[in-house]
Amino acid sequence: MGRDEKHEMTDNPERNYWQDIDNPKSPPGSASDEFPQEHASEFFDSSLVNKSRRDFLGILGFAFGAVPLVSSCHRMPVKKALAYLNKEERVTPGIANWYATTCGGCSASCGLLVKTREGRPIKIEGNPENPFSRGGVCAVGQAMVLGLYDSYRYLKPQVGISDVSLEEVDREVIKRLTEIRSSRGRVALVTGEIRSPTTLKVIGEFISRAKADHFIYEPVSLFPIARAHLQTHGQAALPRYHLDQADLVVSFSADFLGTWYSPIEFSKQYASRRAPDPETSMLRHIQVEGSMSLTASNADVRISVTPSREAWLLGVLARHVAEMAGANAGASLLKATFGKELAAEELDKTAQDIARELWAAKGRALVLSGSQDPGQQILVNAINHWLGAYGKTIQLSASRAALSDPDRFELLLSDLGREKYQAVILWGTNPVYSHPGFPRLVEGLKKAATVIHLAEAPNETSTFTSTSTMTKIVCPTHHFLESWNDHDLGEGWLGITQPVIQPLRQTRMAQESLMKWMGMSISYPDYLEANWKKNFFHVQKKHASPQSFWTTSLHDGIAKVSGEPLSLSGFRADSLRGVSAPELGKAMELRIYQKVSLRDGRFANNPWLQELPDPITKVTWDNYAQLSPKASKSLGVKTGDLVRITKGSIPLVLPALIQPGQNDNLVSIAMGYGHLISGKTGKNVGQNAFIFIDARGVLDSTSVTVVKEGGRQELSTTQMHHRMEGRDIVRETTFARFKNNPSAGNPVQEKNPTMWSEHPKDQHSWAMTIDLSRCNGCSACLVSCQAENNVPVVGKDEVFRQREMHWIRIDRYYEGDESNPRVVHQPMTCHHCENAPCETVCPVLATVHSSDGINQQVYNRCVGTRYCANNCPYKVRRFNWFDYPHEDNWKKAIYSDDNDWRNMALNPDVVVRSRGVMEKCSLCIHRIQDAKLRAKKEGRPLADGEIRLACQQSCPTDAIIFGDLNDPASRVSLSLKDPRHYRVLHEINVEPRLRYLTKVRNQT
Amino acid sequence: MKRNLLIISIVGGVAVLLGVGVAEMRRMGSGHGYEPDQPINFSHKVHAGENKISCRYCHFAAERGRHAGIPPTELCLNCHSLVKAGSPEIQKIRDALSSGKPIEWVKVHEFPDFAYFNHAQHVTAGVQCQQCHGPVERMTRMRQQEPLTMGWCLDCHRQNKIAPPNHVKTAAGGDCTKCHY
Repeated sequence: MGRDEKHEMTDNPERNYWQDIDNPKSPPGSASDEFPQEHASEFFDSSLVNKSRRDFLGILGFAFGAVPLVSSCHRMPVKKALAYLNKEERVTPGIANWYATTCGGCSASCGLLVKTREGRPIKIEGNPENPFSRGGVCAVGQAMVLGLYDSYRYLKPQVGISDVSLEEVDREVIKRLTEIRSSRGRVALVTGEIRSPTTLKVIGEFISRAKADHFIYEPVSLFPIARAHLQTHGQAALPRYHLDQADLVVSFSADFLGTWYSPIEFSKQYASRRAPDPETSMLRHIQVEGSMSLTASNADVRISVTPSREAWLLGVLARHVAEMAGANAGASLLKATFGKELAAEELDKTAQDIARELWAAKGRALVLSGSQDPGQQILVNAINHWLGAYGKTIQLSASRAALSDPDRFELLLSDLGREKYQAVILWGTNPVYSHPGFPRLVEGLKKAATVIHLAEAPNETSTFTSTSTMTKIVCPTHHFLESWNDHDLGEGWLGITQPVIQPLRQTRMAQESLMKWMGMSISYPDYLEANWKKNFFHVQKKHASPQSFWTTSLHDGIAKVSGEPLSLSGFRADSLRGVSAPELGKAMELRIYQKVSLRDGRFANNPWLQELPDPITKVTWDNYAQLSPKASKSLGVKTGDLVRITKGSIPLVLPALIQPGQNDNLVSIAMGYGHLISGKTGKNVGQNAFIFIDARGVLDSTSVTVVKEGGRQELSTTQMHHRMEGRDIVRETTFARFKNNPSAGNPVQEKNPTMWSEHPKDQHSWAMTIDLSRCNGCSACLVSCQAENNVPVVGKDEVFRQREMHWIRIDRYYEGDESNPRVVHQPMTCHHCENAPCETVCPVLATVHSSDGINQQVYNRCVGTRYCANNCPYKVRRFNWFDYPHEDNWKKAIYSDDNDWRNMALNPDVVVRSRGVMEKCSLCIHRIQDAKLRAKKEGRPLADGEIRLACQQSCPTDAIIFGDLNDPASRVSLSLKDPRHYRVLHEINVEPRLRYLTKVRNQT
Repeated sequence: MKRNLLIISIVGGVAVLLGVGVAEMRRMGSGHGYEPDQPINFSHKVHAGENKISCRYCHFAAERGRHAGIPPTELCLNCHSLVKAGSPEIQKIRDALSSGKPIEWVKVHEFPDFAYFNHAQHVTAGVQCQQCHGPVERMTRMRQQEPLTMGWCLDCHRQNKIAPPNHVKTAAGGDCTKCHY
């Protein structure tokens, strides 16, 4: 079939996909810069290249002669083998142990299964038993295992500037706390948000015994949602959303697939309603957002407005919904607030359209908002109430969470200034980095005689708060993989955190430190167990004895203790009186957002996260000012040109990034960068955007100026490497067309004539299918693969040279108008072609076909010619330009010190590749082998779904299907019969084993 | 004539060197025949040969996982708290246990990192320990009996001496990624 013919057959021949905003219509052949020569030349300036043929033969002859000479007198290096003296019963060398625990990466508290080998955690996977995360883990969760081995963490406690033991620190703290109590002084305990009932119990006891006041600070918090529910429903409850029960979700800047609230849970729910089925309906998703977040990129309809207009739109929408619902009191209140101005008229048409759609989906609709302003959350609650969402798409349950409280934190700042507190304990929070009132905080802390830091690693707060008049005490805390804890997950579920390794350093759980300091002799794990048996055993129904309740819960990592939904007093319409209309932005507005990789910045020292390409911009190791193509044109800047953003008198200079789809009057900057105090990985990477947020944590600003600064800062992006070159690499259609014809947008790919004989068929035939309708681009697979397969981190400079090593890349294509394009995410990894072009060009047979259809890469045969990478049509091969895990230069550039422990996270079942070797996706061959070996040992055939690849396991949308094509009933075999199924680059007849299912959008 | 002799001797010399070189290269690092001194005069001959203790009594991990494993030191005392308890060699075991400093055995069978081998697989399939480790029950001091090179592995696998279970077509087969990943 000719190419032109095929284009006529595609769904929409006018579709023009593009990746690169500087040159959307890139000329054919422009991918020739894939192996840029100027970067390669640094390796060929050695004297060897200039040798004559004669010299070369001489060297060769000498080398051959030297072998017998050297080998005849060589001696094997003597290696020692040390056995356990007393073997721990459950630890057997070579056999992995798995423990269920709960993630400490963010407040979503997803369920984890941690793989440990010889007592070392090496891989984090999702716990399928967890009813919310259901086996998914995000990129941040995956990367936590590397953070455990971070050498920048505190090694031991400190009093003043001297290192001390835990006993000494206890003596010192107890002495001071006793003095304060006897002199009737006060202690301030400042923590991050806490969702652990047992930890809150410890804090409660500490507060009463040590005469302390508890303050909570979190830069990005869910407190506005709880606060709004207090006003609208009389309870400070945190809802659980059920997107899978909804037919329509309208999100106002809530990045619920990427960073907001509980992304893995939402991704699971969302994907279950986004895989198209002609028999049922498909979830429709409208996103109102000025920037291009991960969630916005997946929306069926994206409405691009600035943050202040977004707030207005929400208000006007609420008015319309109130009118439709006949809620006259609410409607008139809203009319008074959101009825007068020009903005209301301007947004009225859009609001009416959304309101009509929402009303049509009444009872199966859901509105979300990512705003940190409680007023907007009240509007969201009102709309959801009128739409009948409560009890259907929203479940409220009593919240045991202690959430951030800006008013109380303000009180702390003023009280510190008045010297009310003689001692301040800061636990797991870094306000000096992220709070706008940090100068007052630093000054206030200097007035306290004692400041105690319960922190994992040095940060801005634990560093910038010491003077000669005050004693700084550091009592370092465990990593969550070394800790015990519990978590309130809502809807009556509790999660357990259990340690998976002995503490690596002289650290201690913060709870235990507090318990020691108030004179309790019991350890925190014992306290936790006792608390569970005493307080949660009675409210559960499953177990007969407290002991079986505890052991089973610990084993499962999760327990259901109560299930009654909250009885609510009903919606209070007068809560709408508290809502005020925001000031409208007149020129540029600003939004601070969270990146999928770095979130609020607490894990900035994690190289996996720093090198994770942003799902949308594909930039690594930096933050930047995102500007629309039009705005950047009028400013005269290109991507990488420095711009100065000023809010009031606060300036920030950042490189610009031209972002298609960005609102013309909005500049977006990622938070979490610009750490002054961090290990080498996170220090001085990007700029700290927290300087722009206000004291209430609101992330948007109405009025900023952006000017061209002059100068450039290159961004290390993985975006420019790979282009579509006008081929139908992504195939897509709309749900309406799909219902008529399930293979809409997916013309038949006829079998090409071939000169190759088929590979002989053996027992298995592995293949993979990726569903583009499910995949949302979250990049969890990428970090999972990195952890599983010992993929090295290369650093910013190397990414700039296009030498990133990730085995999976997620191609992101824009389509349509650059002011509001549609976005496609397409994971790309080795296609394991039947007629693999790489195999035919390898001069040393280092890449060959296996009997079960895998394109094998044999590292110890590879001599690094890179012919295979040149000949790979999918560009998925990666070359080791250096011995990244071992060469000191690389470790020094990225890690904090020479003695870094992060190689301890390497997977011992996968070879660590050395310099000069090509590598690529192996289809997790070690997992296949492991499952096969297990089945053989047990004398049974392999079951379908028994092998789960690293990417597949962590995928929160279950977009990846893997299995055996020789089994006609396997899921992957069935996926090949799916009318949405297609091959990428079918015309070159490589017969890939990685196939795709077309993307279906719920658009008209 | 003299010149011919010179050429012949040079060519011959190079050929011999090459031959020896290739042969040595194949052997290089394989540790074939390695028989180092051990910190304790432990005799497999006494234990496995004369007293007929099953290999898997001490190397119990061989049927469970990748590594056969050196038995934990405390396991020795299962018998030696009574048997020959006064021997100076047994004293070394008790010293190690009381000091907490493990015994530094010298590794005899060194398997390279770039290959994967699983003991359990072979043991379950019925491969005798001696097939790869030689007549251990006759060794006073442990020796690497076989070359443990790739060619040596493949010799056995090509002959398919061990019948694979019904649901498996071949034992391992010749794919690179059966062992290298």
